[in-house]
Amino acid sequence: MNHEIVFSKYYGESQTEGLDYYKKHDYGYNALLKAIEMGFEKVHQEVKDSGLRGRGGAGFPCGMKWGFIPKNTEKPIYLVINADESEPGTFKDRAIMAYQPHLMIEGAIISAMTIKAHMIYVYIRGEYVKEAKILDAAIEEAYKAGYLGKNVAGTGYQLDMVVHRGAGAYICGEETALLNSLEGKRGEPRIKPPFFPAAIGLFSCPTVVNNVETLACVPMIVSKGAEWFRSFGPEKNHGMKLFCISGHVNRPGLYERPMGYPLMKLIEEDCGGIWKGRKLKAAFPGGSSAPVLTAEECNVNLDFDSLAKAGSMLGSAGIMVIDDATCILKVAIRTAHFYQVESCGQCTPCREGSMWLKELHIRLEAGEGKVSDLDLIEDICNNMDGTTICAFGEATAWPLRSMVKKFRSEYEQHVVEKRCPFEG
Amino acid sequence: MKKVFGEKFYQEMDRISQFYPNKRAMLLPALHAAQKERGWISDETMQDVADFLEIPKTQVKEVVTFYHMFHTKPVGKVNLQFCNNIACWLRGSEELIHHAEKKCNIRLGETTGDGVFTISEVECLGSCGTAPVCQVNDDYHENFSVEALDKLLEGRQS
Amino acid sequence: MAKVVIDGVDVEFEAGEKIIDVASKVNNHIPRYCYHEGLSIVAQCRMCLVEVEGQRKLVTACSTPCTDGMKVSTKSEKVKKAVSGVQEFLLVNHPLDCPICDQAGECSLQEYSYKHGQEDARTDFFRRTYIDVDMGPSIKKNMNRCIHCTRCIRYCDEVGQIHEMIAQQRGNDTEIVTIDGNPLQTAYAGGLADVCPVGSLTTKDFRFKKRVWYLRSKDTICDGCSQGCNISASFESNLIYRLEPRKNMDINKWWMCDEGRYGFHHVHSPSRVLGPLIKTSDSFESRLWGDLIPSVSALVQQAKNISVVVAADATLEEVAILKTHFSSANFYSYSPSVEKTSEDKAVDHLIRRKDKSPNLKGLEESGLRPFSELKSGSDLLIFFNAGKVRVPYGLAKLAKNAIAIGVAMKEDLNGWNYVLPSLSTYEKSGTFVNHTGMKQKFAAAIAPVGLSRPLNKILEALTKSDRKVG
Repeated sequence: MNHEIVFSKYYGESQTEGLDYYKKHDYGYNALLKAIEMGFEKVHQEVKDSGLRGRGGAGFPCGMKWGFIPKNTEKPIYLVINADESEPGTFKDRAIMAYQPHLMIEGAIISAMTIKAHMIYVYIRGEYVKEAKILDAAIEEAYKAGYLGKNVAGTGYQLDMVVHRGAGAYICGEETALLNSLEGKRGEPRIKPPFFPAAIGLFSCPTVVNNVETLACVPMIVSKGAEWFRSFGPEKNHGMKLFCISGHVNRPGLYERPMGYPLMKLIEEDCGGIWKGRKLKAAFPGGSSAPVLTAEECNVNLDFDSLAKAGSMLGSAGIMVIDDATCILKVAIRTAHFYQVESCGQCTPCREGSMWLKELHIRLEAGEGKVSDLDLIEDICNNMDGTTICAFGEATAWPLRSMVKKFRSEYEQHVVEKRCPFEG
Repeated sequence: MKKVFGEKFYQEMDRISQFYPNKRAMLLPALHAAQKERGWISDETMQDVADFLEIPKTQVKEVVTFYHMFHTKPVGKVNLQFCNNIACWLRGSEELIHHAEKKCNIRLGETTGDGVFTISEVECLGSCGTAPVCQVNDDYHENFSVEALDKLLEGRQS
Repeated sequence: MAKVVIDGVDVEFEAGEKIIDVASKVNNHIPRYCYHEGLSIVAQCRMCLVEVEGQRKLVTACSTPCTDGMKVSTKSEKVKKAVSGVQEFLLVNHPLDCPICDQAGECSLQEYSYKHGQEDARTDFFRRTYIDVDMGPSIKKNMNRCIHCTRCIRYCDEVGQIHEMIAQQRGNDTEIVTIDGNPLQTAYAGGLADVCPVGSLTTKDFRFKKRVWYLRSKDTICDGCSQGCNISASFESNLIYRLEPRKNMDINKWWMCDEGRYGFHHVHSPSRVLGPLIKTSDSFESRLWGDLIPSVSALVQQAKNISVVVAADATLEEVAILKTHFSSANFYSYSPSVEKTSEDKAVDHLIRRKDKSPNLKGLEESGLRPFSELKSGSDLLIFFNAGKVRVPYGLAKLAKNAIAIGVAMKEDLNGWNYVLPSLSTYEKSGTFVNHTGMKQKFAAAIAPVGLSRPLNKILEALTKSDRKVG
C-alpha cells in the first residue's frame, strides 16, 4: 500500500506554525506560484482528476463542488473554510491549524483564486482559542509576504481572509447553519433545495464551503499532481488521510495513513491494541454520527465506500474505540445526550426525538426500562431518519439505532436484571 | 456614539469591519470581544452590542442564547469546562467531574461562593486523542487527571 | 401549461408554485403547522412531507416547487409513516389539556391527530412546563402547548414588521418570548392567535368566553376604518364573540388589526340604547315604538328646514333611503377622524387607515356635503349612525330639535329630543365603499338587538304616521 507522510511530519514539535518554518519544511507557497503559472482552469481540472473528496464528513468530490459556482455571476463569490470541527472523536483540523496553518492558507488561496472568490472566511469553532490566534498570526504573515491582500503574489488579484469564531454550537458544522452563523444569526440550517450555497450562500452570494483538511490537500495536488494523489488509496477514495483515534486503545492520537487503510491494523498495530489487555467491543469509525461497528465488523478498510458498504461511514474519520468492559447503553446515553444538547430545535423530529431517545436510554440503563422500549427506540430512530432539514436527524438516529440493533441482548439484559450488568 | 467598551473592543471591531458587508455579521466577533472584556453577557451588554452594531436587541438576544459559549450569568475566575462526550467519557471524564464537584462543593453549572470556580460540562472539545480534556477558561488541559485537577484547584485557592 | 401529478391527479401549476398550494387546488389538503400562505417558508415542522418519484428522501410540500411531470404521493406508506411520526413527536411534550384549552375544536394538532396520529401514546415522561405569560393587552401565551412552528415569530417580523418575538435558547429548551417580557408593540397582535395552530397564543378578549363548536360565523366587512377588511363574525344566541379576518388579496390579505378585531363590543354594550327614548324635562323615558312614532312624525312635519347628518358607518342603501325620505333636507357626511376622504391616508405599512369610518367614500359619492358646511339654526337635525361612529357630543345643540337614529350610548344622549335605536353593521346587510372605491356588499350576521329596527322600517312607520296625520 502506497504510503507517504504528507501532513503530520512535524506534529507535536514546537514552533512549526510560522511562515519561515513552512517555507523550509513544506510547500512554502510554491504551490501557489505553480498554480498561478498553470492557470486556474488547469488547477480546477487537476483537483477534479485527483478525485479529492471532502474531508468534512460527506465525502463530496471537491472539484465538482467548485464547478457548481455559477459562471459570470455579478455577485461576489465567497470561500468559507469549515473549521467548526465538532464531531465527537475528531481532532484532525485542529492539528493542521495548530502545526501547519500555512498549508491550509495556501490551499485556501489557490482554491479561492480557482473559484474567483476575493474573500475567505475561516469559521473556526469558538473553543479553539489557541488555534484561532495561530491562524490570525499566520494570516498576518501571509498578508505581509504578499500572498494575501491587494496583489496576491504579484498577480494583481485581490484576496482577503479573516478568522471568524463560532461560539459553541455543533450544528454550525452543517454548512448552511455555518453560513447563518457567519451572518450573525442563530445557527439554524437552511432549507435546500431549492437553493444550495453554490448559488445562494453567504450573504445570498455564491459560496463554496470546504473543510480544513480538504483545502490542505490542494497545495500537494497542485505541487505533485493528480496522479501522485491518486496513488494513495483505492479507486474513488484517494489521498493520504488523517485518522483520529480515541477511546480504549493503548496509543490514541492522530495517525496519517492512506485511504483504505484497514481499521483493525490501525487499532492493533499502530495504536498498540486495546488497553488494559481487554478486548475490542465496538467502534465508531467516523465520529459519533456513524453507526457503530461490532468487533467483527471492524475488519473493514477506512475509506468512504468500504465503510458505506459495511453499513457505516467514514465521516470525519473520528474513530472511537470501546472495550468489552464498557456498557454500551452508557455509550448510547452519552451519544443521545450530545444530540439532545446540540439540536438546533427547528425540526420537530430532531428537537423532540433527541430528548425522547435520551430519556429512554437513561431509564433502560438504570434498569427501569421495558422490553418494548427497544422497539420504540428503533422506531423513533426510523421516524427521525430522513425527515429533517439537515442530516442531524440521521446523525442522531444512525448510531443509536445501530447500538440497539447490534447489542440488543445487552439492552435486554438491563431490562431483565433490572440493573446495569456492568456495575458490580 | 458614546464609547461603552474598552479601547480593545473598538480596535478589534475596526480591524475586522472591512471584511464584512454588513454590521450584523460582526455580531459573533462583537459578542466575543464584549464577553472578553466583561466576563459575561448581561442584558445591558446585549443592548450595548445592539447599539454598537445598530441592530435590534432582539437579534442579539436570540443569538446569545443559541450559542453555549456566551455566558448569560457571571462565571467564576476559573471556569472548568469538562468535556464529557464519548471519547472523554471512555477515558474517565465522569470521575473528574465528580471529583471537582466534591472538591468545590458545588454541582455542574454552579459557581463557588467566592466566585473563583465554575464547573460545567461541555460537549466534545476536539481533543479526543488526549482525552480526558478540560478547558480552563481559554486553555485546553489535555490528558487531564485527578492529580492535575487537585493541583489546579489548590493552586488557585491559595 | 405545466402539470404535476399528485396522488394520480393531474394538476396544472404556474412556475414557482409549491406542491402544498397546488395540491389544495384539487382539495388535497396536505397537513401543515409551520406553513402559512401569508408567511415566509421555513419547512421546519416537517408535517407536510410527501414523496416525489425519483427522490430518495421525502420532501416538504411547502418548500418544494412543482416541476413539469413531477409525480407526488401524499399518501404512500412511507409518507404516512413519516407524518404519523412527526405528529407523535409533537405530542411528546404537548400537555393534552384540550378540555381546558380554548383552541380545542379548531386546533390543527387535534385535527391532524385524528387524521394522521396514532391511537396510543408511547410516551410516559414528564413534559416541558412553563408558566403562562401575558404578552400585552391582546395576547396570552401558554408555552406548554407550543409546537415551535415559529409562525408567530415570522408574523411579527413580516406582518407587524417589528422583530419582537424571538426564539430563545435552542433545541428542546427553545422558548418563544418577547424580549425582556415586553408587551407586544404591534397593532396586529390579535392575529397571533389566528396564525398559532395550537392553543399557545390566544386573545384575552375571547379566552374562556365560548367553546368554538357552539359558534357559527358569517362573512362581513369590518367597519373600523376606510380599508374595508373582509372579516367573519362568530356568534351564538345572537351574541357576537369574536371577529376574524377573511382572506382578500386586494384588501387585507389574511390580516386585520386589533382595533378592528376588538371593535364590536359596542354592539352588546350595556350602555347601548335598545329601545326608543323621548326627552322629558330632566331625563329620558322609554316608549314603545307605536307610542312614539306620531310625535316624532309631527316634529318632522313641522320642521321647515331639516339637516341630516349621516355618520360614515351608514351603508349606501341607508343613504339612499334617507335621501328619498327627506328629499328636501340638506345632507352632510360625518366621520370623526377626517373631514373629507382627501384627508384620509394609510397610518402604517399594512392596512390601518386614518379615516375611522367604513363608508365616507360612499357618502361623498352619494353627494353628501362635508360636515364642516353644516350650519346651526335649522329647525330639525337628524343624525344617523351605526354605532362604530359615535353620536357626536354637542351636535344636537346646532338645531332647535334633534333626533338621533342608530346606535347610541346612554352617555351620549345629551340634547336629543328623540333617540330611535337602529342597527349596527353586524345586524344589517348593505354596501360600503372603501377608500379605493371598491364596493363591498355584506349580509347581517345577527338579528337586531333589543327593540332596534332597520332604518327603512323606522322611516316607513313615520311615513304611515304622516298619512294618518295628513
